[in-house]
Amino acid sequence: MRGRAAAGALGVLLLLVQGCAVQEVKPWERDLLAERRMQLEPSALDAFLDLHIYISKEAASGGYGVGGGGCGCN
Amino acid sequence: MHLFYRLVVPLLLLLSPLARGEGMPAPDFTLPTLDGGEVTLSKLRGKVVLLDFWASWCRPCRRSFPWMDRMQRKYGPRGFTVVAVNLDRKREDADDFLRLMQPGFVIARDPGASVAERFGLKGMPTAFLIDRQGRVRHTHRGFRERHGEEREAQIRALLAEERP
Amino acid sequence: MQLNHVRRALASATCALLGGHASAAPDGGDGWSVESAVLYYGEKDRVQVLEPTLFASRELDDENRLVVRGVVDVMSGATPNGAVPTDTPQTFTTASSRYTVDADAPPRMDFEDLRLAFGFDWERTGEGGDRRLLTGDVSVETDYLSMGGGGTWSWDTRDRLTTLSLGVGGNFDWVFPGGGPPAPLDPLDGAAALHLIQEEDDDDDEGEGGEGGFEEGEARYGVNTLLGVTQVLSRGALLQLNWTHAEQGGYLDDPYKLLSVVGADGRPVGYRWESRPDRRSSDALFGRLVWQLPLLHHVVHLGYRYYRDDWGVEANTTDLKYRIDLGRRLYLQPHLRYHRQGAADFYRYYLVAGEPLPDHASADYRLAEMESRLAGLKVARETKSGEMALRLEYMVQSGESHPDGAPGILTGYDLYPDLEAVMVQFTWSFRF
Repeated sequence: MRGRAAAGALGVLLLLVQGCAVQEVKPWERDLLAERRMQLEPSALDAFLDLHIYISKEAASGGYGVGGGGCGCN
Repeated sequence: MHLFYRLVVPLLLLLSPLARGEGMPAPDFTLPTLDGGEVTLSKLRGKVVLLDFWASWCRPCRRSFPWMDRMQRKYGPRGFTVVAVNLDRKREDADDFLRLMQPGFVIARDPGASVAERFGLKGMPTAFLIDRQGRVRHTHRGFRERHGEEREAQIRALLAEERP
Repeated sequence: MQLNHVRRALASATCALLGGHASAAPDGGDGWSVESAVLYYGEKDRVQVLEPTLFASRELDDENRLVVRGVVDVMSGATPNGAVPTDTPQTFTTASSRYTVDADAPPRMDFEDLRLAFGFDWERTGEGGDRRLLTGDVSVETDYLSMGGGGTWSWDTRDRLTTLSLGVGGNFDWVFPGGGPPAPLDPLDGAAALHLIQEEDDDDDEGEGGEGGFEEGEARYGVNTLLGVTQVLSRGALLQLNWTHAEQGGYLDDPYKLLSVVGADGRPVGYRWESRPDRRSSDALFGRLVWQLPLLHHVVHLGYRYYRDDWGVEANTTDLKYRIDLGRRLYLQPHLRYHRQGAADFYRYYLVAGEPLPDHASADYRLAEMESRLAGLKVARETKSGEMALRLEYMVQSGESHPDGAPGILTGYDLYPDLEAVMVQFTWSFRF
């Protein structure tokens, strides 16, 4: 069940890549991608605080980046 | 078959933007300027032209403006001119940007990017340094402060060349 | 055929040409750009944290960017110690403290701590657009020291539509609880505890200092790697896929967590310290889509992570942020998150008296099978250097309260009480 959900999510992602990768984005068409809200991490601060909470309350971690400080909270 | 290679391929190469390397004549265009006039590249023949493509959301573009402004003031009297082609979709975005920058050179608009397309832009900003004969002599990709001196030397060298 | 058709329809629906409005891009320029925030994190009946945070960034020149950050965590409250409740008061005696829990109450340990954390990011953009990111972090608590760092290299291909990333990081931590870290699976009322009771008169029961200080700590270390691809899908869509792998080693126990050893009637006959393996190897696959809806210009941030490790933990996490711009400056951002994890192989609610001791056992609620739901809303007003924002979030974690086979009186207790938490964060950005 869980595996199927994961496979489904991956499938949707792949479809998106396949369907859209053909769209060429010219250098002058990067206006939206240059917006702050379109950055992968629009607020580094929010992400930092969130991650600290999730890491100290859950068994899973990782996926976002490397390095980072630990805490005695887990 | 031979005919294909001897005639069609060179013709295609000539037409493709990739082929428009340094030393090739810059494609001519006429674009409206922000002050309500228009600018035609071929009418600037005899001048050294820095044809710059920019947009308000592009950060290195912003950094290049003070430098272009300096070049215009310094070398304008000797036959140098900057033509900065704005590629913002909406004119207001360009206007907001220019209110801050107050550049002393020509700003043209190419919202459909048809001229940018013909010049085969690979990134933003890109500027083409065009000599007095109308040939593209140097391509400036991106902008860093330390590029300034080298590019200024190129402008000086082209200004020193004979008028056609 | 059919699939291709669907695919094309999906592509045109999701990646249709997008129109006009574009709010200002992050503004560069001289000086420091500062983001400050205060976060209040409060669990019902459990832990409270007040967390003032400061991020300051500066463009050193047109190639180098520096971010420095500092955080203070003021923590207090009670955290589950791993024991199960029972019908009489329970007293826990450790090398550094002694505390009593009421009859029928979930056993929790009161604590107070202060954590200071500092870090930096140094990002260097090369001539060809390649980026090198170097990070470093240090944090100290009264019983914990952590140092970590990492480097990530990213470069673009194919007219900057695809970005590849490669990263490697590491950390070295030092765990030094008062009285020294307990021996795994040792009974709680050991010699160390007796020692403390003798000295109790002239020693307050704070966990720090005195017997078993910094030198008597244990090391925990780790290495992690990242392999990532970011793909521009269209003018308004971006997809990131990361694979991270982490290896941890050393002392991975929680020095405060224990397990009840219960008899056939479900009442405790003793307590033992938890024991975890001294290695952990984990993998995470993370995908994230950033997509600006055509016409509406709302922005979707959808993230999904699959996690697995050799402790037997498997987890799926989905995170959705949906940003709705109201006018040029104001925006709302609802946030939903759902996390579901399986238990670690050695997770136990309790140990049973008379049964052979397992090699490893932990009753840490974070290693149990559980699900966590979060809902939140952010209201923000963009400023020249960032934003002024208020964020409210609510989180509930729930697991199996009545596990099968619980002996005697334990069937009558909630062995996995829900964790409810609220988060209130105020953010303010400015420049100087």
